[in-house]
This record gives sequence, C-alpha cells and structure tokens, in this order.
Amino acid sequence: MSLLKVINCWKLFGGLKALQNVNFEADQGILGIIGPNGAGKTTLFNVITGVYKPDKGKVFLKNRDITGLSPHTIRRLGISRTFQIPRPFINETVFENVLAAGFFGRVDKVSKKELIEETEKILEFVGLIDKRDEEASSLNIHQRKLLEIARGLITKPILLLVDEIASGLTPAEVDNVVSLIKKVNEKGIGVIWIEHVMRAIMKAAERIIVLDYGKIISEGSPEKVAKDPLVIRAYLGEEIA
Amino acid sequence: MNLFIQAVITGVLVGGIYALVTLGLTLIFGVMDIGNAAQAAFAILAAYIVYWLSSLYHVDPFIGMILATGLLFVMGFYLYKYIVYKTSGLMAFALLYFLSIFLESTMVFVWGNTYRGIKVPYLSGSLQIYGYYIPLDRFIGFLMVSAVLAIIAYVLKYTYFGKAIRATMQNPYAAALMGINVDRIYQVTFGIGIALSGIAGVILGTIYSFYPSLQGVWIGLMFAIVVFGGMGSLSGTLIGSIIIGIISSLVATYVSSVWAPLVAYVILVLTLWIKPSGIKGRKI
Amino acid sequence: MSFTRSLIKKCLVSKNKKYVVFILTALTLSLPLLSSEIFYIDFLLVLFMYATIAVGWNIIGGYTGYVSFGHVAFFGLGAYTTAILLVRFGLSPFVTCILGGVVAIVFALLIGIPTLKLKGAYFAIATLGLGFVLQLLFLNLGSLTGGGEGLSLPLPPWDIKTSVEIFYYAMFIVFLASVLTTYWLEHSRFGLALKCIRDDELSAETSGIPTAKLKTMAFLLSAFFPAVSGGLFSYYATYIDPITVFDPKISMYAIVFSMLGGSGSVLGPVIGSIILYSVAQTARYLITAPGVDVMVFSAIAVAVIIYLPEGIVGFLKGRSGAK
Repeated sequence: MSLLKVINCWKLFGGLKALQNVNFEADQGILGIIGPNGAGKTTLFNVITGVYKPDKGKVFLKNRDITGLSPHTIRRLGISRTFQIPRPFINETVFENVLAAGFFGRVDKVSKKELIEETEKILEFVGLIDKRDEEASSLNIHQRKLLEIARGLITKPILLLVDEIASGLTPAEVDNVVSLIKKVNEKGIGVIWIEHVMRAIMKAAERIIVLDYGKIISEGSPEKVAKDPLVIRAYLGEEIA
Repeated sequence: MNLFIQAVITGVLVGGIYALVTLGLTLIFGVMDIGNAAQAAFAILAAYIVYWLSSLYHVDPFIGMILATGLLFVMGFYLYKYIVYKTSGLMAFALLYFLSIFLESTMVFVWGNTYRGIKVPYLSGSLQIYGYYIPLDRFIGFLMVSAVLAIIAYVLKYTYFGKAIRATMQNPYAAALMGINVDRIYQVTFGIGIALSGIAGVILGTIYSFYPSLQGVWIGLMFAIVVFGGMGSLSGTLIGSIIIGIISSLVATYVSSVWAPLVAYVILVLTLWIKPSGIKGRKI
Repeated sequence: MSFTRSLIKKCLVSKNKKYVVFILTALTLSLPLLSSEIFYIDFLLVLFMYATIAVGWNIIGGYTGYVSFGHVAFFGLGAYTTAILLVRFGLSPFVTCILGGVVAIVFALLIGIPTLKLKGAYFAIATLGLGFVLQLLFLNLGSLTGGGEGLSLPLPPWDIKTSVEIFYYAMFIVFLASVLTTYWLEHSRFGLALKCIRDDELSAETSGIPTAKLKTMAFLLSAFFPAVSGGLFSYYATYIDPITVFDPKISMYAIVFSMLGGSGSVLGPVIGSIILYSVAQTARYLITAPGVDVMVFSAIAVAVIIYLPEGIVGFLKGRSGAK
C-alpha cells in the first residue's frame, strides 16, 4: 500500500521553478531521493511537511489529503522529518528535545510516565542515552543527527523524512546512521531519504528518484538509476564526445 | 480643492524631510541588516551641536552642519568598530536602542529637556507659486535629500567602494573571499549612516523645534518608513516617506493634527501584517 | 569570587532554593511589622511593581524569545482601566485591577496576531511604538480618559501608614502570583514548548508544537501581570496621566531588569529588578539632576548586552556567552 502520494506538485519562488509537476508514491520501504544541489529536494520535503504550500498539486498521506495543513498537524498525522543541518533546541537537554516533540507531536493518549520511558528507550535506540541530561549545544554533528532521528521517532511516525543525514560525517559515522535508518525501516516506518553520499544511499534504498531542476528525471532501482544516461548527464554535464 | 492641493504639497515636502532623516537608517539596514535604533538620537545630537556652535560661537548653521556631520562619521565608525560588531540582529537592535536612551538622557542632563531651534534668518520665508505656499526651509530640505540620494546612488553604482558595498550586501562571505575588507565596509557604512542622520538632524533643527526626547518620536516614524518602503531600499524610503508625508498631511488637514503621528504606526503594523517586505524591499 | 559564586549557586540553583525563597517571603511579609518607616515599605512596593512588569515581560521576551519593546502599553492600559472604573463607576480597584489585566489580554491579542509572525528585530520594531500609540490615544480621547490633564482618583479611605501597608501586600501578592506563574512555566509542557520556540521555531513547529497558538498565549499571559500591577499603581498614586503611565522607559526597565538578572529564568527578572532598582534609587538620591537614573540604566544595559548576554543567572549556571 502506498503511504504517501505526491500528485502534480508545483512550487515556484518568483521566476524559479523549484518543483515542476512532481509525481511519486512512497511505500513502507526506503525511498531514496538524489539530485544535484538546487534540484528541489529539500523544497519537496518542505512541501510534504507543510512548511511550504504547493502552488499546484496535492499531497496524500494514506489517502488523506494533507495539502496545505500546518506543519505541526502533519507531524501529528504521522510524518516526521530530520533537517539537513540539525536544528536541535539548543538550550534544552537531549532528553527535553525528544520529550517536547513527544508532548506535542503525538495524538495517542499517553501518560507522562510512559512518555518518559519511551523517550529513554528511543535515546537508547539511537545511542544517545549517555548524553540524556546534557544541553544539545554540547553535542557534535553526529550526535545532533542522532538527536534529529530520536526526535522524529518519539511521535511514532508512519513516515520518516531524512534530509542528507550522512553529509559531514566520517565513514564510520555514516555506517552507523545507515544501519540505524535500516533498523527504523524494519520497525515498519516508511523512509524517504534525501542523500548526497551515494555510498550510503545506494546500499540502503530499494528505489531511487532523481530530481533535477525540480523535475523527476529518473526513477527505479539503484542499479537502474546509476546507469541512466540522463542521470549521468545531470551530475556530470554533457558527455564529451 | 485648493486645501487638498496645499495639503499634498505640504505632505510631499514633509515627506522629503522624513526621507532625509531615514536614509542613514535604510543604508545601515540594507548593507548590514542592523536596525539602528540610535539613528534619531544621533540626529538630535547633531542638531544640538549646531545649535550650540551657532548660538555660542556664531558659526553659520551650514558650516556647523559640515563639522557635525564629520564628527558623527567618526563616532559611527568607532562605535561599530569597537562595540556594535560584537552583536547582530535582535541584540544589535537592543544595544542601539539602549544607546539611544543613553544619548537622550545624557542630552537631557547636559542641555535640559527644553525646546530649542536653530535660527537661519535667510531661510525663514516662503515661496508662493500659483497661490500655494512652499516654505523655503522645507524646500531646501527637499533639495538636499534629492542631492544626497543622487550622490549615494552614484557612489553605489560607479565607484569601487560602492561596488564593494553592494557585493557585501549580497553575500558577505563571498565578498570577503574576493578580497573585500568586509569589516572595513561595515565600519564605513555605519559611519556614513550616522553622518547622514547628522545632516538630517540639522535640517530638522532649522525647521522644527527640538528636544532630546523627540528622538523617541522620530525613531518610530523612521522605522515605519523603512519597513513600509522596503528594508534597505533607498528609492523605497523616498517613496514611502512621501506617501506617509502626504497621508499625515491630509489627516492633519481634514481630521486633526493630533492624529497625524498615528498614521506612521498604523502603516507600520499593516505593512508588517500584509506585506512584510514593503513596497520595494527584499523579503524579511 | 569563586567562593561567592558557589555560595550563590547553592542558594539559587540547587534544592536549597525553596528555603531561600521561603525565608525571603517570610521576611517580606513581616517587613511592615518590623519597620515603621514608610520610606522602606514604599521602596519595596514600587520595586515589586517593576519586578512584576519584568517577570511578565520575561514570559514572552525571555522564555519565548520575542523581545517586546512596548510592554508599558499593558501597564498603562491596566492603570487606566482601573482608574476609569473607579472614577466613573466607583468600582474597587482591588477587584478591577484584574479587569485591567483582561483588557490588556484583549489588546495583546489584537497586537499579537499581526506582530507575532515577525522574527527577531522585526518584532521588536513593531512593538517599539505600542506605548507611544496608546499615549497618543489616551491624550486625545479626553471625555473618557481626562486627556493630558490625567485622572485624579479618590483617596483610599485609610490613613497613610495603613494605606501603604495594604498596597504593599496587594502588590506583593500580584508579584508573587507572577513569579509562581513563571515557576509553573519552567516546569510545564507549555513552558518547554515556549523554550523550544525560542531556540528554533521551525523545528518546534515540525516537532508538532502549535507555535502560533502557544506564542500568542505566552504574549497574552505576559500582558496580564504588568496590567494588574498598573491597576494597583493608579490607585496608590491617586493620579495618573498618559505621559507617566505610558512612559516608554517602563518598557526599557522591564527588558533591562530581566536581561541583567537573566531572561528566560524564574528568578532572573527578580534579581535584576532588586539590583537595578536599588542602584537607580541610589543614583537618584546622590545626584538630583533629571535623567540620571535613566542614564545609569541605559549604560548598564549596553554593558550587559556586550559582557553578560546570559545575565547573572546564566553566568552562575556557567552559561555565560561573554567572549
């Protein structure tokens, strides 16, 4: 069953067409989104999560129209996201960062005690339990990215949108976040994953969408996409004859 | 109808003075994204300096203006270099706001909170064209704002320094990589911005009577103009000033002059609500 | 220095805080019994008033990160609501000061809707003129407000000593209520959400926090307490006019008191108020020229922004942002 459907989405910034007629579906697997800088990947996330309203087109979550809803509503309906450059609540503790999302981003009735337990479980799951009571400002980039995932998971999402989680990390850290996201997916949470680090995304994704200048230029398995001449041209420019 | 035209003429001329006072604020806003809340306080300070020079030493107000402007440039330059650079955004605004209160209370301490006016005998008349009055001092003020605007536009467009400023406005990091001394650009811009308020303050002092607490009234008006015209847009400042000048003048003519000061604030809130980027400006 | 620091830390940050607060409260309550000097009681009364404004301001300016430069508007509205209801309808200020708070809440809602969309300095700019606008309105709506001549309120029916004591306790209750409210804020989900909004509003919104609603609620709450204290003030002063109760400097005091003590903490605004109000009164006592206290305040404010941006409480917690 498809979790998310994006239908004929357009987003313009003045004269710039950030998204042009984007159509795709995402299911419970890991869907990768790749494309050169400025291709509209993060804009697409912003449209899905309600940060931007699309100029045209619709977004459906499990057949429910969520187009134009506010970001906090969409979060409560089950779409969590992480930011490319982590945006923790810098003066609060790691625990409070996750707890805050749990307090407000969940629709199920959960007691404070249960929520605290769940928060700790999630911190354990992502590997931040040692940092529980430290302010988020003291975390390094890798830990901040883990915190983004923890904050995303506390609301029990249907779908997790991951924005360039591997960028800026060492190879060992990349392996760590890749296996973490795979584990998240095994829990039954659908993942849409924007990534520049090919080594990470090609290994993990079942299906890949390639965006260029706001358009989907290729779609399919990682192997198929990697060989697509349109994709090669988008990344490397015109072939030299 | 005659009343209406006279009100519009007065509004345009007053708008010119508004623009002159606001130009420095616009420049600093546009180049370094700092809301200089001390701008009006510096204008009043300049008016006091000229008043003081002319009443104690009989220095001609226009000579005094040049001296005050030079002094204010130096003050602005070093103020940025040693203090303001440490802050940005909201904190810079707060810092400069408290500085404006400090300047105001210091002026109250030194000169008292009584009304003063710079007397320029040769500017006290009015021109009369087709039966409409054009006060000479406001007319001169209007000419000066046009001249200052033309000079700034020329400098920004054609000189190396102007190009460096525009590059810094667009992207300070890239500008620094291209070998532009961004810190120096900021210091000089801040100096020029403050100096401009000096010119304006003196013109203001010849037209209206002034006192230290007047800065609080003016700064609100100036921010309304900058926001309405569009942050950092010089032409937006001119257009915005004239529109606010005309509306205020019409309100004063047809309703009551006590409500004229409200015009600017209503326009400020409406702009921020409906179109925060103003008439011509960039997006906030 | 480090000894003092750790001592104050023990008093403020750890669990001893409860006892310190308790002892201070007991002292404050018994002061009128200990001292017969009206001067001291009046001094503390006015201090409580400013502290209440600062604590109220801190809810939106400190916790939520929306720095209002126009909080005097709420103080003045409260003062006028109470004064008008007493002069025109003979209602008791000790009841109507709450109504003043409600009027301020309605006004805050009106202002908050367009301005709370703005970030950082733009919100500050939008609120800068609030006090000025109300001052203009109250100066020129003479039939209701008495215009520039102001309003004279009937004298309280007690002798001066009793009167000062009653106002002292009333102001203390309002002050205590405001502090307890922020204490609750500090430990509640609502407060946590406000702090998240302050730290990163987009992130808060995408985490499920209804930011627009919550920051509006914070703004309304922060308007309430200054207005109530304004209502008590008008009856205590027995005379108000627009120039006094909409003086923009009152907005400034709220900001400076909070910032020096440490905005976004429960005790910061209180500590800041105690220190700065004492300093200002001393300055006014030593130098009789006009504007000296304001000069001292603004100079301290500039210094705080440059050297102690996290305030005293932040400094004690070792969170000083000073370079």
